[in-house]
Amino acid sequence: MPQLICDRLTLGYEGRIVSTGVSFEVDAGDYVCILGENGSGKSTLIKAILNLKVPMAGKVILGEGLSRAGIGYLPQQTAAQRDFPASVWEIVISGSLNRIGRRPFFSHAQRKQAQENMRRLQVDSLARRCFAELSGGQQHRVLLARALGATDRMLVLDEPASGLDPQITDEMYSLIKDLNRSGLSIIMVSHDTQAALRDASHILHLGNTSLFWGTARDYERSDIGRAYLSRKGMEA
Amino acid sequence: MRRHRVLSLAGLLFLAAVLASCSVREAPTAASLTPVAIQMDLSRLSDTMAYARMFEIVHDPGEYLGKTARIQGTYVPVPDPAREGLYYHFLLVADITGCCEIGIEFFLDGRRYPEDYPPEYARIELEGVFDMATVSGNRHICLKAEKIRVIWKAEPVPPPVP
Amino acid sequence: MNGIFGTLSHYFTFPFVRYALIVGVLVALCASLLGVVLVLKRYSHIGDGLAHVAFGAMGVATALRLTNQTVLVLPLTMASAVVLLWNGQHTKIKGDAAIAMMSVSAMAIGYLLINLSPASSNISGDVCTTLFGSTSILTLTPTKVWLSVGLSLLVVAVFVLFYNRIFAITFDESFAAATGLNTRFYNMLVAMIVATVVVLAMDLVGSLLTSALIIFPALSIMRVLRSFKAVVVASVVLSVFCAALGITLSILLGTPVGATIVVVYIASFILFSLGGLALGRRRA
Repeated sequence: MPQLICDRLTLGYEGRIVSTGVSFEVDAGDYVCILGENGSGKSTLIKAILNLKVPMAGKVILGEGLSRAGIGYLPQQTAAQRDFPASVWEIVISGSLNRIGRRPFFSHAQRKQAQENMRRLQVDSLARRCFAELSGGQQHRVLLARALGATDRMLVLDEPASGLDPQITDEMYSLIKDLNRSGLSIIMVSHDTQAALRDASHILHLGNTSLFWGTARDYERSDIGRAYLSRKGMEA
Repeated sequence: MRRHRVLSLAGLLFLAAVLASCSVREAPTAASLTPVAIQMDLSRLSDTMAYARMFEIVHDPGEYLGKTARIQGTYVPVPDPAREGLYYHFLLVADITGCCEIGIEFFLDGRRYPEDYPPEYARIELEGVFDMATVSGNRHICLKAEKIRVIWKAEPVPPPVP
Repeated sequence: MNGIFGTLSHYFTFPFVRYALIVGVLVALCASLLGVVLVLKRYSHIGDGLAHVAFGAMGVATALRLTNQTVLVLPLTMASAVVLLWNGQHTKIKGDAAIAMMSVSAMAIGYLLINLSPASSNISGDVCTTLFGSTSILTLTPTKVWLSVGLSLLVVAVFVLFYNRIFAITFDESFAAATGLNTRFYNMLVAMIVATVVVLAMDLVGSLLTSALIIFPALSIMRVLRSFKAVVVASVVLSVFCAALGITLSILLGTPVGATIVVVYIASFILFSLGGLALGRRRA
């Protein structure tokens, strides 16, 4: 039973249709990379999966015990957050909010989990530091730790390496791959095709005129894949 | 916040109107006129405090009756609409912005208006005793003044040249 | 110096001074809590906008000859707050123009109604009082004091109980929504609290200066402290101190209460800005 099923979604914004007939399934442990040009509806698809926006047509179905509140999310950073007075700890623990129920404060178990997530992403030494004063890579890891607080099943990441140096980018992707190996399903929007081919198990290519869904290996061999990769200057 | 505004100035006009329509007006019951030490000196308070204090006194006079006070304010004579030549004398205490004002009627024995009274809108200081005056069944607080001192007076406006 | 202490202790024997300090401090406290949230959500102008709407509502209440104006002013202000914050973070672009339109319309309609209704004999005095606060904080009845105390405690209780959720919608609303938080509900809750505090604060500093009570403590503290909890706690402490000092100075010097409090806030802002510079805090 798949964790996530997208059934014939029609994506669009401001009344314009951008993509139709988007269908795919995500099983537990999959690593799905969503590729596509700007404006092809990648962010809209993410919002549909997270129930932040209702798709124009089609359905998003969550299965296998995955509830709306059980998906972790790493959004793109906003300018306001870069100057926000908050400590790393405050941000990471806020990820566990969906499990707090009706209680006003976080439980001991949730605090321990948050500490563990920080340790996993090597930001535990930064717990008391102000978020705004960290480097780009550190900030992304903190937000990833926050996302882990919300789930132990599936992570949705929107351009997790945007604005990072190449070396930091590599570290970020290897961290994500580690998380995937430990059992988390990954759905990632990215421009980075190299990383996609290396790490992902499946590729979803969204476009105005083309659409691909299948394994990464199949993508490399497909027409769409080859065309996209050659445009990006890579060999198939 | 508007209630005191309505009460204070409208109160003056109300009194004048009521007096016009009422035939009976009792003189205030005289308290002792021998000079005593001032128990409440509002002249030393800042404008803000003086106004707030007067507001309290006028709206809840109970514990202040019979106490001696020194108060500074603006002198406002109000003519009786029905009886020519009859005036009621009020002391207006305002805060620094002039937004809020509260008035209290006062009496000086043995004086005639206008000769023995200060000019209109002069800043004066009164010393006297708080007492109750009754206007056809309505009681309000007033000041039975023993001393009056003019601090400064507004310059009279010269008549327009024809 | 002794003279001042003597004068002050004499002043504090008056109940209306004690009431003024209690209510003034509580209102400033609530306003500063909200200020942290509003400033960080980039909604600093909402306090101002709502205060103008409340002025307009008072104009309507005057025209209707209501004795207890709060009965009309509070619901109208709450409704406006809800409309303005309905869309949460998506309100931004449209929200700017909406707030501007709403607040200026309310002022004009309110002023027009006040002038047309014959209920008062000193219109400019009334308007001045409502806009700048006057001695209304010093002429509180015990009933009003209890009401203000009750409302303030309610605001603080709500803020404490929902602290973690309020942090979530302030720092990252889309993450909160994505992980299942009912962000619309919490945005509405914040809107209600803002409206309540604005109506309470109008008595203290008047319509035009309410926004100062809300934004200044947070802005001052954020020059120096950099964790959310520290900012919240320190803003509260600062606002309590400044409000108490402002009220005390105004009764000593005879200056208008509202403006004096705001001047104390300005001074604290300058102090904290200098402190922030001295500590080398990075300001992006």
